[in-house]
Amino acid sequence: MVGATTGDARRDVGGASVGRMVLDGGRSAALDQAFRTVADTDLGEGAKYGPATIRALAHVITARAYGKPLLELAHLVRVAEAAGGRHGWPAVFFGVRVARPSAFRAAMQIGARRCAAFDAEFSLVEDGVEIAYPDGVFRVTYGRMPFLAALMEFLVTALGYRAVDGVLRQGLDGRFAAGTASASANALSRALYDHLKAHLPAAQAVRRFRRLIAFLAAARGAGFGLDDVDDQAVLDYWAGAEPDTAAGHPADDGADDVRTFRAAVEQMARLRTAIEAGAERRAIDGAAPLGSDRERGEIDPEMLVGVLEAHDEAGDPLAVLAEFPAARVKFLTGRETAELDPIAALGRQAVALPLSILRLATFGAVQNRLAQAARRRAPLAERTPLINGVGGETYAERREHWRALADRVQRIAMAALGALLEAGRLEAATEIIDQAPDLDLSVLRRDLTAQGGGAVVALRGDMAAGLLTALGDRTVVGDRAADLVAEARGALRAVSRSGFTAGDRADPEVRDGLAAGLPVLRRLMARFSELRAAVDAALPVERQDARFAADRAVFARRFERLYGEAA
Amino acid sequence: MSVGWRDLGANGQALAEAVYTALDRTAELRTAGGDDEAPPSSSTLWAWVMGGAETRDRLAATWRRYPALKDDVAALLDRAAVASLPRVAAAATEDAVARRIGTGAAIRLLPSRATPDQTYVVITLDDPDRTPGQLIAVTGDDLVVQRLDPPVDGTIQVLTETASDLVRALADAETRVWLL
Repeated sequence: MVGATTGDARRDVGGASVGRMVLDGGRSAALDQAFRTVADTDLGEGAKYGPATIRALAHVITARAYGKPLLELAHLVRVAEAAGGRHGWPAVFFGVRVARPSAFRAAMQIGARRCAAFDAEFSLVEDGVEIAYPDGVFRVTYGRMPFLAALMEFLVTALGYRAVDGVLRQGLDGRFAAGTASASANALSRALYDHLKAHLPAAQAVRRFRRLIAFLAAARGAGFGLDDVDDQAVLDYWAGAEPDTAAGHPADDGADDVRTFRAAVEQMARLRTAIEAGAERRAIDGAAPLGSDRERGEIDPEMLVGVLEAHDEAGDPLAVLAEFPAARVKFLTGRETAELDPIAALGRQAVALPLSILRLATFGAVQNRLAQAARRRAPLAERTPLINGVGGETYAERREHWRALADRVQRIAMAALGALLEAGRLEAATEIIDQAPDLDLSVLRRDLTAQGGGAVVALRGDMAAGLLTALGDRTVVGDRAADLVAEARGALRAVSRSGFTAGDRADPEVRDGLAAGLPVLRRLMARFSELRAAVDAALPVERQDARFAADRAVFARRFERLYGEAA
Repeated sequence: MSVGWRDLGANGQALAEAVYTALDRTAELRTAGGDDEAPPSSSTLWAWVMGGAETRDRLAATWRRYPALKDDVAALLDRAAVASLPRVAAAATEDAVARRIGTGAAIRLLPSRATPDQTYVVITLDDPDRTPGQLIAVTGDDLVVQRLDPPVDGTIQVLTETASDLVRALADAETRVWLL
């Protein structure tokens, strides 16, 4: 029944011919477009769905782990249909302008006031809404609703509103029971499965994976391990080294997949993550990866999405900084964001591949300029200097640049701490303790205990100001913390970026942004610091010029093949 | 100690392949781009449907540009409307439709006696307490939006040119109409 209405697995929202949706090397333009439609939704107040929500949606779709989320969705639709009044569930799912838990809380509270069902079938609880079915109780939290709304947006974009509403309508018109929601969820799951069957092929990604494995086996031997997935492997793989041919592939097989050095780095980083995940799972239980159908070697989607959530931290720090409320504060300029992007995108794998990040920051930047020149068909005379590395940074220059960047962002972090101290936010205390974990807080503990007459861990609101004042008092907490507080206050006076001016700091949303963004920025900078230390360890200063010269020759050869006369 | 590829065994290698593939596809989805602007989402369409005069042009442009979204727009209009009037059945049509009846309202086209090149669009609401603020009519690639004054005793009148897009659309049997 559902298949009849949602079986148009090749729904082309763009209005072009079906031919345009033919898979592009294993990648569905229609699926990309549907995903972009969701991610680009902006109702005039910024992106409706934040980067973390979009990432979670991507995980669920690619792992095909949408069974449980669709069940949650079917339950939530039951509540939203009531809360949406005359307009029903679309008023809640589509009417919320920015998908935040607070926005859904407000929508539900408004709906509850005007709908009698909230006194009987539904109830607002502290963290969400609860549905009291005759055969059980189901709760959906406000925190979960932004993701479920994004999933609904994706479903409707991919399958069509009438198809989705048709399935949901059967449930809404059916018996008020938990089992009814299950039937709706199953029907949507089947429809989405059919859709993705046509639009989510894994063939190309599997080919990339197998090509990487074959390359490593040829280059390092069949007994290669995680440590072999290193900087040299990245460079050799990208440069089209001989082992690729030895593995039975022409040297340029899949060249489009690794045309850019960044693509090679990302693929190797993913491979490291994949091997780590396989090893962890094997350590937990030897036969674990087999899921619901062991005979066919299928992977359990729920388990897979769990692995993705645990391992795919890609881009999160920058994504959070770009998302409300942190976006109210200009922690980073556009250029700083771009420079930190590879580190944020690769997460801990960036530290495992430090020279690759250094190469990416230097030769990768040159390749970007070459690619732009090639796109506008610039004459060879213009491309040749770039091919030979003229105009690019040396490793020495890049490391000095990184040092300056780290210092600059550190000052921004200190200014953010100063603003939080000024605002009397307890997050400032957390930051100070995080930054100076060796603080001797015994005097402070004694004083606060005397004031509060109880445990310090249960801080009362009126004690926050006292705590923050005490953290700046060197007679109470010693020089280290007091210096930190003084430095933070000084940094605040010296920073004039948006979010740091006196007027901006009076805005409660900006204060929330500072509190949300500072720990994220701190983690990102800690990762950056780890990376720089890894570069220092892998490439001592006295060897960097020779290494740069050798690498420049490798990049020049590859650039010549990609962008030179013969390209 | 380094984890060996062979040490993972068939199951560990299968999971590694699945993880790699999912990471790869996730990255592709998250960086999906293109030269063309992405089609509007349902949230966007809903905002335009509910948005009145400020969004009418964007809604009309979407109607023309994305044929595949017409059904979604119509369905969202069904959901949002105070009244909806379907196409007029073929057997009931004359050369031009002068009267149409739907759920929640009826619409008549009455030529002005005083000014022959003008026509009254008379909307009679089933529920006088409903106060739609706009009329949306769609036919073919055209989407017409007309702002409405508040009803008087359940009736709204619009005096407009007989040659206007609104009258032409309402006289077409294929046109669907919503009052919002």
